Amino acid sequence: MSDTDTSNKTYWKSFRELGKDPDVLEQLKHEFPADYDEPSSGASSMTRRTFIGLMAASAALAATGCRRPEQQIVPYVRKPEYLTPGIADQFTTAFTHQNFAAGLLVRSREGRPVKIEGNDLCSISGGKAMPLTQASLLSLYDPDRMLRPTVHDSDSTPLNAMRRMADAVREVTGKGKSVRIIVDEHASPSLARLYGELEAMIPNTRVVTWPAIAAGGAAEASRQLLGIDAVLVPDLSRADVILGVESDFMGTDPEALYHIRNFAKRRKPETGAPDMSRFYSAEAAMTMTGSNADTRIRIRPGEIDEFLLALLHEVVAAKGRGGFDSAIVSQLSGADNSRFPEIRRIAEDLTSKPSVVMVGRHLPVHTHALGIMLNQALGAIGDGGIIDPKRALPFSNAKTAGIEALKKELQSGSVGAVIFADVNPAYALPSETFRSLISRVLYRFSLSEYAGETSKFCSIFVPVNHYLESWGDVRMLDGSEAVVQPQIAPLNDGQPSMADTLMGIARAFDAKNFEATPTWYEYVQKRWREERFAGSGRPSFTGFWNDALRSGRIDASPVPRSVSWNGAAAAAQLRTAVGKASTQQKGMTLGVLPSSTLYDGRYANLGWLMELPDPVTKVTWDNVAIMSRTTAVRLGVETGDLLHVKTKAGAVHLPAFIQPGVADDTIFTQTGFGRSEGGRVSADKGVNAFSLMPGPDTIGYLPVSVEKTGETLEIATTQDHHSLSGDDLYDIDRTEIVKEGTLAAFLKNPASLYKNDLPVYGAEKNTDRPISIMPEHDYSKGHRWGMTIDTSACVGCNACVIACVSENNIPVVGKEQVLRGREMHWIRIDRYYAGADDSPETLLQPMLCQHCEKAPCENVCPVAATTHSPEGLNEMTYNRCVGTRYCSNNCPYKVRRFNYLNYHKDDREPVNMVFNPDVTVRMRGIMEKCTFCVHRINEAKFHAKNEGRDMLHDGEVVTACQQACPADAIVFGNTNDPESAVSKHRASDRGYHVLRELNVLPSITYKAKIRNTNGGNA
Amino acid sequence: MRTVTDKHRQDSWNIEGGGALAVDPHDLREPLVEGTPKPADVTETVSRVVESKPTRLWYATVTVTGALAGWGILTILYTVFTGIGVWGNNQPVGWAWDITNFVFWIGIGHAGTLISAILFLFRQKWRTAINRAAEAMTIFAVICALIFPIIHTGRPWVAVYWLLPLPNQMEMWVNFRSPLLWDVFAVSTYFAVSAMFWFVGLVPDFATLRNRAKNKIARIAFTFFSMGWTGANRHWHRYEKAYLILAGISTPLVLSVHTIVSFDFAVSVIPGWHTTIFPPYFVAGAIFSGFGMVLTLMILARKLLNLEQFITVKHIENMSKVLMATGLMVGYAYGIEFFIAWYSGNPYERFVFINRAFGPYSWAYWTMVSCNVFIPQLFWFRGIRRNLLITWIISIFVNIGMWFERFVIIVTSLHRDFLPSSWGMFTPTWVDVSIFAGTVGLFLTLFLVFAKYLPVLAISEVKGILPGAQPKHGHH
Repeated sequence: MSDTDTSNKTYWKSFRELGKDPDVLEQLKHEFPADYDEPSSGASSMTRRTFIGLMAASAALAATGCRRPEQQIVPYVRKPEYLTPGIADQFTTAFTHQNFAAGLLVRSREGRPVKIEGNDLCSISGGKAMPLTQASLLSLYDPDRMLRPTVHDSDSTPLNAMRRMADAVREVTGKGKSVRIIVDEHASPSLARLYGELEAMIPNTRVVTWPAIAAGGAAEASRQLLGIDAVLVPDLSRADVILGVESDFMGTDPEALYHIRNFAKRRKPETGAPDMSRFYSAEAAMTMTGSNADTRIRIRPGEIDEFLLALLHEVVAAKGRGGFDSAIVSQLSGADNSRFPEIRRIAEDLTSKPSVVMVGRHLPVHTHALGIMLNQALGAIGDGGIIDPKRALPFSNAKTAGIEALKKELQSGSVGAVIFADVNPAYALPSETFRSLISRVLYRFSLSEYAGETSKFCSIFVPVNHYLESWGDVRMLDGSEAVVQPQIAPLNDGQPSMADTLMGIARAFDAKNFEATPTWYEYVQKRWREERFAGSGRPSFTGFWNDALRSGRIDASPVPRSVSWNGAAAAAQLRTAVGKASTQQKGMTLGVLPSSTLYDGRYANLGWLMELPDPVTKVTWDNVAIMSRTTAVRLGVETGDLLHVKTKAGAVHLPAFIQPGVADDTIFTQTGFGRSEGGRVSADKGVNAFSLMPGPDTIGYLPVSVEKTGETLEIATTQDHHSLSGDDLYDIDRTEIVKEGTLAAFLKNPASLYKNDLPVYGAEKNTDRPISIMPEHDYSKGHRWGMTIDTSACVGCNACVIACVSENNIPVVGKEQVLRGREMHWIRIDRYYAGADDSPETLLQPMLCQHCEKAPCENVCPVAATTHSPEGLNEMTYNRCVGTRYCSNNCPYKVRRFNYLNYHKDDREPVNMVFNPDVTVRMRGIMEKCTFCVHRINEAKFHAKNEGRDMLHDGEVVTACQQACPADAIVFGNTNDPESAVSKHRASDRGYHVLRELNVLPSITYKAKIRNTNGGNA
Repeated sequence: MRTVTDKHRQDSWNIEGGGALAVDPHDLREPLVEGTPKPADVTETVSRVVESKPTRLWYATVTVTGALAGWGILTILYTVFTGIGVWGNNQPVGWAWDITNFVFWIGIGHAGTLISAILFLFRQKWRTAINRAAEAMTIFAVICALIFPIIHTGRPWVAVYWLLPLPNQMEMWVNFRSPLLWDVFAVSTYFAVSAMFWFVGLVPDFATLRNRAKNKIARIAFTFFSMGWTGANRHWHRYEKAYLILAGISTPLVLSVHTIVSFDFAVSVIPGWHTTIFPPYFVAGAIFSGFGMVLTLMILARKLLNLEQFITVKHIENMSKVLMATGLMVGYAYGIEFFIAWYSGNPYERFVFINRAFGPYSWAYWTMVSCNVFIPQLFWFRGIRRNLLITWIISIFVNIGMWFERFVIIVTSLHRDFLPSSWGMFTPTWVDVSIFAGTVGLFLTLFLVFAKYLPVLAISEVKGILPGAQPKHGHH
């Protein structure tokens, strides 16, 4: 029953005979009331009258029955060249997340991008992509992005808007006032060049970088101590010992993708290959990265400096004075290491092996300085070292000073016009701060992908293109470069890119500006011709350019940087640190950290990200006040109690959320939520944590007062807190679910992973198959699909979840449905805790359909809608499913998902263009679950058949989750082939089947989690 | 040929036939009919209900129950047109009130056939006063039950016929390994046989009503349904044989239906469901709940329809005894489940039972145990068994307890199974409540219509147990 009229002729006719109430007729046309927005049980939006009306209408409709929406397909009249219907095309481009860029491969079907994957030729992405990157596809089709330019709130054209902005610029510069263009962090050399030229072309103009998440510590410390004004990026694959100091380098840091890839390389020990790095984490927050630590030390926020000082003291003591002068060494003598009993062992570990210290991005300059001093003492910094100055985030120079200078200018009234170029300070600053900053600026303009909060304060607003619609380029952290090429013509017809708009303003200001390169495309190409083609030795630029587009990257010599150690600056920072450490903070502390799913809220309008469970808390659709149980008891609150959280900058209401592992007397919350003008999906989801931050940094710690409001808020988590041998009542042994052990114990006796005397299963060799009443399947011919998942490598980054959502058209169901437990994700990251509440060990287990050989779901389906394939897949036939949900009830892993409502019904145009045409969009009343990407298997088989092969090569089929996993924890393939990667992984001594004792014979073999704890058997 | 038992019975009947002044009340059975009504009085009493105009009370009650049923139907339509999402079901609780209600109503439906078939075969003469109403109740309960397997599916418009093994051009058959399919066969067979049994029993009474009918429509209807019954000896002969055969067919069905319904759970792998005790446990529970509902309705009906003479306190007491016996069986099953959960050493199974009794749904569990095990213990006292008000209240508790039994089995097993990561909670919505209330309304409406328009007692059979009636039939 769509709202197209083709199928409805009969029902209009029959209805007129039944009832003449025009209200009812109107209701009928939409099937649901007009205010029926989110899929809901309807209880809230339905009045008694509409309900009765609907029922009458339903009775009338019963004759016509429930039909699926009818849609028409139209063949090409003239087939476009290079485009075969049904065959996907892949084009390279690149994604920029703040200063971090990585190459992408975007899959397009019939001209529209349907999936974002990493470019495997790119040294940084290695074919992988993080959740935010993958989800950016959805924003391409976000209807809330489809806006018109406005001048004084009336519709305009981009050209007119540019002309008006240029007029304003001319007016204010004529009066001697200045123009400021505020931009976000980026990784584009062409943009950097453009910004420089803009400053030269327009008088009194400067371009200031002011990101929403402003954290200047790392770059500033590096600038002062090392003489390198950039954020250096260590190569974790080369470190034997890593110490993270509240560093979420695999979670919220923009370069997390790079770190996960390198970290995971050293986290997969086997009996024959025992190499494994060791990771300590000392933190107050429970970060995703910290939850992966072999040893996690819970410290208070105020103890971070003390911890580092004590450690530095130990390291310097062990290594000798190193390069440090006496100004440094003398200050360390007072360090108190008695409070951290672990510190001597950590120091011994760090000093005896190649090691590195990572400091959290939100921490202040002096803390980063301590980190740099430690790394310097450990010998980690230097050419060819773990921290090689050649590897740095591009354009990641310290920005705090520039931002502070701009603030002063704005307040002084010397700035006549401000152009907010895809930045949103009205959201990222406390509203009082923002208002006071702009109050003396005459003209305020906004160029933005979404309308955003800032546009409300601007007289001219120009919507700008999505990166998948525009040209551009990026520089990656290793110096290589890539071209950003558009994948599709702008969906919002005639919409310019941000760079084009800025160039347009400059041209309207003076026609001579950008005469040679009137478009951004030409501008980018010109830079490439001048900076990259010249000296490449290639005969033609066209060939060079096309190769760059095809491979998605070019090598470029890294920006030369050299370390010049500044001992005086180090000593000064050390003095600050010692001073801070000695002044103990009293009372509650608030930590504002970037959201693991939304980051700074730029993509808050993407349902995929909103519904993505936070890797640690598993909360969706909200940000929460995370606190330890002790803190909660002290405050007298429970999870869900709404708190009045007040800092000197502002106050918000946040629901309390009790989280194991968090430091006491500390509350953490995340940025990215609480958008008011971010679009319909993000509206009123959570609260804006930026409003609590007075600046200059918009993340970090500050004192806070917390009061109970007496109200409560339901928090939609996808997983409640259940430790494996948890609370008293449920003290049960579930060791068959997750297996773990220490590296030393595993190497000594691999069987130590298996308790309860069950035979080692993963090795298959020892296994006597228990008898079963179910008939055996014959898999001897052809393929037999299987998967292995390494829980030791998995860090819980959620890349697989978003990959699956994007690949398999999984609907976003909304907070209310998540509260009811109806989220639709086919793969989820199960998280279990072991040990004490305040210092838990975390176990992660990606859980998806196990494709059991003796699948309990298959037996119980009365209509045979879920059946077994000859290749070992547990198949779901949507057409046949009547929705008894018996299969789901009987699934021991609870991985089946039921369409309780028509979740795609409210998809607005053009969101439906994001669907993967290879996968059915499921209607309500149907069960669904992981298919092992059967459409990818079939696609590979078509190609194999064309080549005359029956069998697929190993690695020819890559499931979406496997493709996305930055840790390479997932391996998929043909287990009938003993030489396939999956067969080899299945033979690992770490292999086990979840719930093996049920004898359902899953096709997924998990590999046990190994902790490389110091001291072996701990 | 007359056995000793027969002789004894005849003697006792003779004595009873002689009047209430029995020689020694401890030796003798209580009369099944109070007073000394003549056969014509039976006809008159029962037929008068059918032939008189409905009372205001009847209209008022039917309006209420009918409105409830109508509301239920509207909410069912709402569900069908919106999706199962309007209920509280979720992951992991795929089944909740829907299947709880299904099993509850199927259980209610057990008493009728048990009374009419098994008690018939065991020659429990006291059944005659209640069998007609109990059978009607069975049929109405099964109608209520049948609603749920259809509407609980996500796509009922195809489930309606895809669940049946209908030949089709795709050669797509149902999955004969699925207990849900066994349910389809078991429940439909049960419904068909029960309905036939009930109808056959009604034929002589239809003829009686036909003969008395003054209203034209009534006469045509009763003429049609009495199928040319004249009361001829040959008719009676055939009738008795048919009745006996149907009783024979029905008897295994009483046991099989709930056995198969219990397979829905017992055949699964879910701890708390995967239990071999389920078939006998479910059958006992079904009889328990069925008798509970019979008591609830009969105590009211005998009062409202002036049938105290025929449905005597003895009947009520007998049913109370059955209730207590089956309640003890159910209690035994509750206990043995816990024992096995502990004895098996299966951690998941242990957890499920600890969670049932002490977890978030412990209130439901203890409601169930209180209503089904503790409260029926009052029936040890004869005074309570013969106190109609207390018995009626206890029967209501049994109804509540048995609904909760199914809720406990279904929801508490599902909400926390193997992987703690996927544990959840179930909360019903207003639609869940409405649909259940709707089936209660439908059940009561159907029963009220039956009680008004059909002979609520088996006239011909009751005549056979009138004082002095039996010995005159010397046809053994």
